[in-house]
Amino acid sequence: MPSQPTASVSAPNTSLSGADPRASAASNSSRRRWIGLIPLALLCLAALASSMLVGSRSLPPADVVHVLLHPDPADAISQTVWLSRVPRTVLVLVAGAALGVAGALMQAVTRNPMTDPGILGVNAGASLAVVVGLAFFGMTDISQYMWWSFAGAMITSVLVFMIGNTGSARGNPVRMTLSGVALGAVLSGFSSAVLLSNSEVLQKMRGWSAGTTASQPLDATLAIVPFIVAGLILAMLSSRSLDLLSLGEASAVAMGAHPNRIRIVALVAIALLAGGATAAAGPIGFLGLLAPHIARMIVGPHQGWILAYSVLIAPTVMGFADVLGRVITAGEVPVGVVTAFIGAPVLIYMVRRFRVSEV
Amino acid sequence: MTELDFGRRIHRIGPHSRPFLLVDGLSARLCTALWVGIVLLAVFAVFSGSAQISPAEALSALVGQGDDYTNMVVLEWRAPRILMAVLLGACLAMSGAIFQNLTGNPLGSPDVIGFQTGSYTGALIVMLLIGGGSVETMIAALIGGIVTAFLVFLLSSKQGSVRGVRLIIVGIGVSAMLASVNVWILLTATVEDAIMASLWGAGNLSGVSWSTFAAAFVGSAVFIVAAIALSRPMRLLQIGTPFATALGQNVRAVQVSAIVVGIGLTALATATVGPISFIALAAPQIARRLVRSDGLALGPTAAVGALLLLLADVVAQRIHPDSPLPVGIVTVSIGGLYFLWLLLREGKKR
Amino acid sequence: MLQLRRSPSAERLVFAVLRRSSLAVLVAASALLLASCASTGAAPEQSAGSGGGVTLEHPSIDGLAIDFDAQPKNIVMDCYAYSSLHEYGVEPVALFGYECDNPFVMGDADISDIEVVGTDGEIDVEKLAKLRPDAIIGQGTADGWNWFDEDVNAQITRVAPFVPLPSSETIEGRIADTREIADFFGGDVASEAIVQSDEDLEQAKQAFSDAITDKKLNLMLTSPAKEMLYTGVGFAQAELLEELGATIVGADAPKTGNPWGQVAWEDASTYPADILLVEGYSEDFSFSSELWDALPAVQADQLGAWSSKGAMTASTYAAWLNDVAALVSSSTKVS
Repeated sequence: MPSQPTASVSAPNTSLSGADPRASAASNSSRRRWIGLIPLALLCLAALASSMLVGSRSLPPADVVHVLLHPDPADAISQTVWLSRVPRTVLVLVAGAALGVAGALMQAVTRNPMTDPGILGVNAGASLAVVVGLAFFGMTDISQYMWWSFAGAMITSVLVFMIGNTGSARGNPVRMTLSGVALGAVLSGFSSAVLLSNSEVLQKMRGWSAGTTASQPLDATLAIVPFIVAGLILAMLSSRSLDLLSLGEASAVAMGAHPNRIRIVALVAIALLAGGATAAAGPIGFLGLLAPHIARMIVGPHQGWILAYSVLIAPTVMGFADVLGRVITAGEVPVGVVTAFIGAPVLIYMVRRFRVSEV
Repeated sequence: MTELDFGRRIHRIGPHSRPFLLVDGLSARLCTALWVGIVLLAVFAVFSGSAQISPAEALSALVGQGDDYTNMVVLEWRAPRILMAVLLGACLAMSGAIFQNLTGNPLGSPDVIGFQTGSYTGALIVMLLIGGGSVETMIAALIGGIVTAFLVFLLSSKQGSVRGVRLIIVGIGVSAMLASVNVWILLTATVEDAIMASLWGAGNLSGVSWSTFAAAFVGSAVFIVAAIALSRPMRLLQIGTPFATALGQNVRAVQVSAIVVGIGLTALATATVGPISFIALAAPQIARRLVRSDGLALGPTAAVGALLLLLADVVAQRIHPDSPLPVGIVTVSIGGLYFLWLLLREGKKR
Repeated sequence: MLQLRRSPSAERLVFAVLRRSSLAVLVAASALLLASCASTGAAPEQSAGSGGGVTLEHPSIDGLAIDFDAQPKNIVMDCYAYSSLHEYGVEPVALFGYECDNPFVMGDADISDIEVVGTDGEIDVEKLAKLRPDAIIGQGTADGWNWFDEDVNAQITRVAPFVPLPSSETIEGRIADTREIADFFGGDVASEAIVQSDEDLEQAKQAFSDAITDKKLNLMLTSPAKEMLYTGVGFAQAELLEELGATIVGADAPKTGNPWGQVAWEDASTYPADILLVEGYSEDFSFSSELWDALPAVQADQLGAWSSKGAMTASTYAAWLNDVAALVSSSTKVS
């Protein structure tokens, strides 16, 4: 284990005796990564299962399984499961995966480990767009305002990137994080302004703007799935290029990559993922920070693997957070509040433990 | 004695060979211009407003000859509000300048780092959960802000040293956590109560009276004096810790005092009128560009901050025909404009 | 009409000094000389309760007596007060507050020519002062409006006395107290229409009572929101219905703070309601969520309206009770 690990890299310990250490180490770690997916997938399933089984209304697990297999629209238990638990679980999976991957992409593109769509204000931009759409254009259906969300996420990502990563601030991760936070503050300030002058919209949007899994019916969640999938595919396709980009712009160009093209593709993917997740679940922060970090701790700085692991880790965290929020008080605590409570201490721990490079 | 050429006009105050004070000519002229601007704006604000009092009547109120109604509007309502805007604008701007200097980062401003979120949490607990009046809210906000700052510093200091970067990130983390608590508290209240609390949380100069102003003035006077006293040492510190130490400065003491003063100024401002954002971020930057200096320019910063907040308040009161806006909503737009300007500047640099 | 608040003379002196020193900056810089020493502070005190004044003994708050120098003519109200008082012919010169554009609260009154001095939680105190109102009526306490902070309330009460709307426990009490207040402000409380509305109310109560004893259905007073279902157990409207024989179901409110009960959507169906009264229900009611739509009462379309802050008049409640009675009669047990 290297001493004084920097926050951006954490290499796995591959010490094996034997013939060609690099080859066997590589295949070993590759195999290890594949194998590691299994317990992770199981954990993810456990989280999703708990999201199905646990809620404000305590239902015996046997009943839940029964109504899953034999849905009965008239039965109260069946309704609870099919109309509340199932949509929420699907949303946890979809939005969680989207946010986790968006965070991984963001960290790769900005070469800054301390970012996620929430911190950099992308979620704030998406939610401002949704609030504006609802308040001034009367959109009520997710299939209408999700376009606003995508647009908002895209514009904000581009803005943050331009402010934080160009000119005098190039390569300074802290500067970018701060630009993102400040921009996010401006955008949520605008959101507040709109909501404060429009108490009807405020009443409707209160729950959503805390970040919640409870506000969408199943078909609304399914409406954003194609876009999330598109975003995931884009992310997977650019994982190789992002690995190149992490070596530094000069080296990447030397190896034949086009940094700006890579960035644009990544930003589009981020917009689709973060925008889609925010449209459905409201702005949820810290998932995009936690998941890639945990992934990186397990698999090392390999973008493709980080993405794959994030797809599983983020819904796990979100699922457990949502379940926690359901049981902790009589009225539920929105998942966005819980993830902030979990994520912020982790961020603080990370910054204390690792030396954050500042250029 | 050789004449040093600083590259700009420097006025010496005191005997020629050993002056008490060196005053930068550009800075002095700028400050004068800014304060004249502030006074003009204040005069405008005193003489105008929804109550449509004629300038002659307002003037008579100012000299103490007005009738009860005019006195109420001009002396009890408008005057303290204007003065409060000037005072708090200066406080916030100075706090921002100090923090930006300490963290070495132009975005390392208390409203970005999130000290104000803790004040909001304290205020929300009193306003919505416990139920209390203005004074209790102020005290809770003050405690909230100070405890948050303390927590942030505790968490970001490792082996006794506080690095700028760590401070910023820890601040962001703590404030995100507190922000989610605030969201939760607001969600559990009725819509009207939530709106009332949100109006405070947006930063609001309505209801300012002479007693509030007096309290704020007394509280901030201490910190302002301390800030002025610290400006020289902080400017010295900019050349780097080893050099400053070699020149005999007690770096730790200066840093700690700067932090205390910076937090004090922000916490005081936030406790009095709620979290007003972006004055602390934008004012020091604007001042530095105007004075063309790279370091701490407290005088111009305070003036710019006062002007900005007063302007924001004047706009906030008059922009919407039916009801006034909280001043914080307008300052958010200032933040937005500041970002646009940053963008353009960065764009030109390429 | 301005009402001067009492303030100790020491305080006045301090403030007068402060005023002078801070104002010197303003006045000097605007190039006018402050030649004479200003007199210490403001105008002479008006004697409160001078001859010719009237006093309102507040009907529901014990011991609250509000003095006016003369019969108040210019009145500023919040929209809740407006909805109750304009039926008696008490018209304001300006409005402020929440829900001024909610037809449910305002009825079909046309308020487009009435000036607005503030919306939701904000108010333009100078606009208010310019109107020289004699009284301000709204929901609140003796100290001021419910949703302004202390300082703003201090400002508005400086302009005119604040009259809080009655907060008695029962609906009948509130209707009666509101009528008293309307009477004080010159409203016509004995007109034929009002007398008729009283009779209508009695009849409506009887009608509801009959309907409910006949059907024995459960009612739940709700305000649905995406994040949870709010229930109105313990509200005066619920108590009224209970008095008349209805069974009200729903979650109790938490002990402090919010008076609404909070029910997570999953638990919504655990409260067996045959009829759901929805706050602000009307033809363009557009709230929908899966678990709401799945409730048996919603499926049977046994939905009606109620308001926790509507007009406190006999005619409003007569109409309401009649509507609910009709709904009860046409409903069946579904829970």
